[in-house]
Amino acid sequence: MKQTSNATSLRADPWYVRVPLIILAVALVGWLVVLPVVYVFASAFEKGWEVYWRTVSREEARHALRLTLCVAASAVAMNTVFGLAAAWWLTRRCRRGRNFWVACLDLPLTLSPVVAGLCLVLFFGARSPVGSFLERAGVPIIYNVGALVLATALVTMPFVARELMPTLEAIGTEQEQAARTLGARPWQVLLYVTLPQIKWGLLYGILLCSARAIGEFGAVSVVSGRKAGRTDTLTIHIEKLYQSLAPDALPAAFAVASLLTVLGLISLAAQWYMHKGAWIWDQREWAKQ
Amino acid sequence: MLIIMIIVVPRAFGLLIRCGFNCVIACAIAVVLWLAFGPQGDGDADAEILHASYDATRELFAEVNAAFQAWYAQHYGKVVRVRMSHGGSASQVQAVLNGLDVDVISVAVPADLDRLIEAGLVQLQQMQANRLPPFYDTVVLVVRRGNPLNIRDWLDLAKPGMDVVMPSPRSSGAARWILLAIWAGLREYAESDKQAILASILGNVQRWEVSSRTAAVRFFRRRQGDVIVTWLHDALALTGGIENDAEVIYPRTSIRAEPAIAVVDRAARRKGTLEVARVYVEFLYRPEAQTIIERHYYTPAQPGQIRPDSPPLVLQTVEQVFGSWQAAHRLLFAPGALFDRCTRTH
Amino acid sequence: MWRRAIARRSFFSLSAAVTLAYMSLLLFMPLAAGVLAALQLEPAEFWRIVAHPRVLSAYRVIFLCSGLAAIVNGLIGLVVAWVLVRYEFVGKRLLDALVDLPLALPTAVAGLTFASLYSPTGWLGQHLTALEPDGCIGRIFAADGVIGRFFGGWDIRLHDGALAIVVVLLFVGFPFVVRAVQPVLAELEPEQEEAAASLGASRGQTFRYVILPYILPAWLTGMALAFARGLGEYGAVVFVASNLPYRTEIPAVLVVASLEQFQIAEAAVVALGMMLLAFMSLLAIQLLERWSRRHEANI
Repeated sequence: MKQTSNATSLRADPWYVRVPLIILAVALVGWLVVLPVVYVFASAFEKGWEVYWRTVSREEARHALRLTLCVAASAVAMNTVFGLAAAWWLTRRCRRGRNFWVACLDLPLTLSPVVAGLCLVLFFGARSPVGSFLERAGVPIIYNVGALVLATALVTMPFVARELMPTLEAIGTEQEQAARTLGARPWQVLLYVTLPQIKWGLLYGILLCSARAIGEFGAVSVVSGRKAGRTDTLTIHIEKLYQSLAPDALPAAFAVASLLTVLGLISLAAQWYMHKGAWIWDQREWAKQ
Repeated sequence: MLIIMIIVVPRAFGLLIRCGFNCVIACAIAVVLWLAFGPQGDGDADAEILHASYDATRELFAEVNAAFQAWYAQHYGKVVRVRMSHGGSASQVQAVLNGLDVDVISVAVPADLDRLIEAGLVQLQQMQANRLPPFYDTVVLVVRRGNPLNIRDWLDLAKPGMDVVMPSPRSSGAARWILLAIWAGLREYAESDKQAILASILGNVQRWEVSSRTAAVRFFRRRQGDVIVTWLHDALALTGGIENDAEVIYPRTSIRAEPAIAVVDRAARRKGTLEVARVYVEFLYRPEAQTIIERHYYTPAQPGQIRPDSPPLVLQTVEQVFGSWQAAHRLLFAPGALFDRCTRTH
Repeated sequence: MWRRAIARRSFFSLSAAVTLAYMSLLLFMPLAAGVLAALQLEPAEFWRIVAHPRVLSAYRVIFLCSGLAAIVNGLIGLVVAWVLVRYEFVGKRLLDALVDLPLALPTAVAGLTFASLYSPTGWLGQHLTALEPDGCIGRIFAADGVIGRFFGGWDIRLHDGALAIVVVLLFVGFPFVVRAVQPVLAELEPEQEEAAASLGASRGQTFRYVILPYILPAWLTGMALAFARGLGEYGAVVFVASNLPYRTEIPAVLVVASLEQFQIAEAAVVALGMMLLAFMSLLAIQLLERWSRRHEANI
């Protein structure tokens, strides 16, 4: 820093460039990002705290919240296991067609959630062979909570794996090989050697995955039967409230939306903490060496 | 002193903000978790039935179900919970065919039930074939306040450039009643004229909405379109309530819409809720429910007290206009029939 | 020894088995079901749906809207990334954190919020009546306006119309560009700029000939990501747009509309097109990323 300080004058922009740019950036972020969030809360609290609390503590809203958290948790758990396996396989083992598999892994990122939902309905729906088999077996998936989990898991599939792959590549295989030559079993290598090294990447991936899972709408709305109090996630509940023409429906929709916004802000704060945690952890590791 | 101020105050302020930030996050997490997993208000129910109904009945059944739960607890001593699923009438039937495990289904058009009967999901004798539905309805027009385009009857919808909001007969029951009503209203025209008029009305529909409710959202909330064709009860409720910059226009003739309600035997039997579902359907004919039905601007099966005079329009039944449902279906809705031919969009 | 070899092999093939089983059950087989449903149609019928003006216009709408949003996002994202990397100011870390907010906020909430914000009675919408077709600016762009007559009329309202889609897609795609440009911009060695400056280049020239070529691949990648995300967006758009066929209907809305009217074949065909788009944008992004990596290695 000190070394370049006299040279930075050549890089530093004059104040009449700097200040307007900063103001522009703040204004743009304020307009695009902050204003909508403020508006959500302003509309939610339009009729006062009491009305707000009554709305969000209504049975349907609470059920939607519970369902959203449970569905997201299941989907994230599935994707964490999958993400570990996929990242391990793709960085350590996969020899042929690695690029192809990585591309397939990325596909849900660009695939429209609606299309994902449609494909799930076509595959697991009652009129497909798989769906009718499941129905006869007594575990119908489409229009039930299972479909919500599947749809959410499909849409958020790449997040954990994508976060893990660069980390796994970066740590290399020396320590694992050393552990293995010392006689550690593969699961011991995974548990005691690899996992501690990738834990921040893993946590970060889980966090991104859950943020996306909680807010999923397109895929979920296609596969849910819209059963009030059964397959209504928060986003579907919001859409329903928006479509209700009762006088207090719009503030209620915003009240429920504020719950989702709070969840989003919590995940953002968690990212913040995690960056700090990872940074402190790195420092400590670095100091140890 | 000044230096201390400059150094200490921002530090303290920063610390305060950081602590406050952590506290707010912790509180938010606590509140969300409590809302999600905290003690539930309504406790466990002894039985739970799922009622799939067409979209326009959201408000009605919310109130009827509350009344039913109280009534059931009083007469049977058990707590029962009724859950609702709303969507376009045909969409609901499709969802049931696709495996949605409903106990009771209400459809806007009785013909929708035929598909469930064919699939063996609803038993015909259960439906009590010649039994009347618990309420009637009809379809009317709603225009912007002051009726700026001077819309008086069905024929006005065919004017070029009119932006007509209505749902699609493919998914919505209301839409099928609307087409039947238009046909009934055009009685005095020759067959080919009727078809031409209907074609131009359908050509004036910019988007086929999924259900009468999404159509109402477009017209009332987003303020798009010049005229909406919708259920009488929705028209009265919405123009009487907050959205009072619209007014109801009664065409001279409309159709007497007879919704149908049935117990879906297979699912109810599997879940062991058949008895409750039957009692629920019976309850809709009781005075307690009929009063609520009338308050929501439907025409109750038993003559009501609140609005003894019927709306100012002539109501005809499908049998009067078309002879039978099958004839109406063949004429208007069957694949390749009038609706298919008039709407070239896929 | 052989037992360990077997254990190791089985463990590694376990990871492959889990990956492949999970992906085929959740991704490949459902996608195949979707493709099959579309291809089961007779060719003539298939072609009728594909070439239907309503379908084509849906694709045109989303291409234009998402493309415009990606370009504007490119500019916005560049400014924000530049400010975040180059300047020190109060609240910089907060600004940095806020950039990620659109990723954490559900798109349905964004759609609901933008729809209300810009509606004629909303916070912003009530000050934007000039953009209505009968407002002072909107009149210029209307079908008989000074400018609009050359284009057959432009709808410049920020609610219900195509621009509403663009605005909400700006929100959705905004973090992608910032997060793509930011690290590359931060890695740019000061020496290069100093060398340019000491050779007498102005700041503008330095930016044009040193900085811009350096960040170009990353910048394009960010824009491509935002574009691809916009192509498939449903939750945000369905709330803000009026979803009228031929005007503001996008393929995702068309799929849902067809599905809800039991035209499963139509839905599957439109969805097939969206799948192809997803594949292609994925390919484009991968190529851009590869270029970006090579580019960085070269410099």
